[in-house]
Amino acid sequence: MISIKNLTKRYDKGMTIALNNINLDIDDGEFVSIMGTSGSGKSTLLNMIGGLDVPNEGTVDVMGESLSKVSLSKYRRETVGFVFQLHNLVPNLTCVENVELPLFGSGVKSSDMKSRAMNLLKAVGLDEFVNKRPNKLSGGQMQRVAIARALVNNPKIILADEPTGQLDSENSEVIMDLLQEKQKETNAALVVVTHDFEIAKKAERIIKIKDGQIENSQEDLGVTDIDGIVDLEDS
Amino acid sequence: MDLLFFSFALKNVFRNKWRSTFIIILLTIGILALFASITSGEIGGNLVDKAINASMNNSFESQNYSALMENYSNLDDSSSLDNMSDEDLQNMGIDKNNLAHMNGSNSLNNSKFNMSDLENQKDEMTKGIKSFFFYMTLFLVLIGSIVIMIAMLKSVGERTREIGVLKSIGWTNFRVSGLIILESVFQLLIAWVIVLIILLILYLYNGSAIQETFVNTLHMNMIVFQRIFALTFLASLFVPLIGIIIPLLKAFRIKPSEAMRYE
Repeated sequence: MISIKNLTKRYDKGMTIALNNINLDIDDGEFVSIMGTSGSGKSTLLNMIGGLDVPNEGTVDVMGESLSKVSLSKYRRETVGFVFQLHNLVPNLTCVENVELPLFGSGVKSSDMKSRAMNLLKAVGLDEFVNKRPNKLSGGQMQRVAIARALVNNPKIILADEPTGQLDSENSEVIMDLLQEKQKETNAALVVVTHDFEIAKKAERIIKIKDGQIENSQEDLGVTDIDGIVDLEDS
Repeated sequence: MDLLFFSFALKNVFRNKWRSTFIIILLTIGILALFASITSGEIGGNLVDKAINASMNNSFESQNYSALMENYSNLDDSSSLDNMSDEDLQNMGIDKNNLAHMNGSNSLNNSKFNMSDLENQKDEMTKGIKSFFFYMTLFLVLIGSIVIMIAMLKSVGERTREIGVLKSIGWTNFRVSGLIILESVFQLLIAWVIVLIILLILYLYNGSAIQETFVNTLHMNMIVFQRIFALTFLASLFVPLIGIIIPLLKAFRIKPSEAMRYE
């Protein structure tokens, strides 16, 4: 599904190396957590997978096609669903309109856009709030709207950058369960960036990143393979 | 284009403080620009008439001169005051004695020569006034464009994160630009429509001093109003395109991954 080879990303005219020679494969329907401290490069890696940024070296192939050869806007619109730490909903729009946003320009009819968005909001338990603006919602509810928005285009890959970073433990649990449930329903690959081990261990694999490299993390996380990728099912 | 796209643009116009400020500024500019438009075409001639009347006041009664000018302008090229009977001239409100007084002679031929001279003088003054108001209108359009540019730069700056989010969920630069242009067109249209409504109310509000000013002094009528409406509508569509180029370039350069870090 996703194949990353020799990925390197530098910032500040090459002075800062955010990612250094990363190699990683993620399968269809797989749930992977990426862990690491602040500035370790985990969000950069997620951005590379999501086509939000381009590498200096190496390749990211998705479904056999290199992202350097496809339209990144189209890829983000059709293949990827993003959930951000700060939900990033558009404040001027209602919940249902926010969920409809990724469908702009996708060729989906207006009526279908609305019904899809309504169904998803119902699925995340927000059918009462469809016409409310985000500022009327709690943090957990806003994140649920963000999940609905990430799922509206039926993505093959769901990318979540610290989706529970602003939530309490109870809401974090609800959001992660919801993400997992939706991921299983759609058989999408789910990649979650987090520094919370409780969240990370819900995944089938944990990838620990340190200083832009995948780190051997046996000591912290249990059994790991040679690339520092922990398979929790084996542990 | 999707209805939601228009709805999104319209909501952004109403819920953004820079846009509200911008609309108020544009309203002021709009009123000034409309005055300029009206005066350039419709009032220019009237002002010239009045100026000439005043200058000729010592020679003959301005009232008769005005009547003469008005009726004389209705004659075609082949017409001549000489060919008209006394009765016709009287019906037109022209007093032969006054004409004689004006020219210092009893000849109507001389009066015709002087009329042409005055017509030329009037044309020149009208041209001068029209060009003055034309450049004034251009100046106001330029100011309007600068106002749009500043407001949109502020707006794009404040919405860096939002634009980044839109791009991250698959919006192309083209679509984001379309949204920003549409918002500008909407806000200019709103400003112009409010100005036009104000003018229409003033026009229809009979019996007041304001109506007196607009209808009688400024010679405002429905044809002028329609012309202004058409011109301002076109201006609403094209003026934003001038002021929005730099904000659009700024929006183009926003990278979604960087925008996510923007506070």
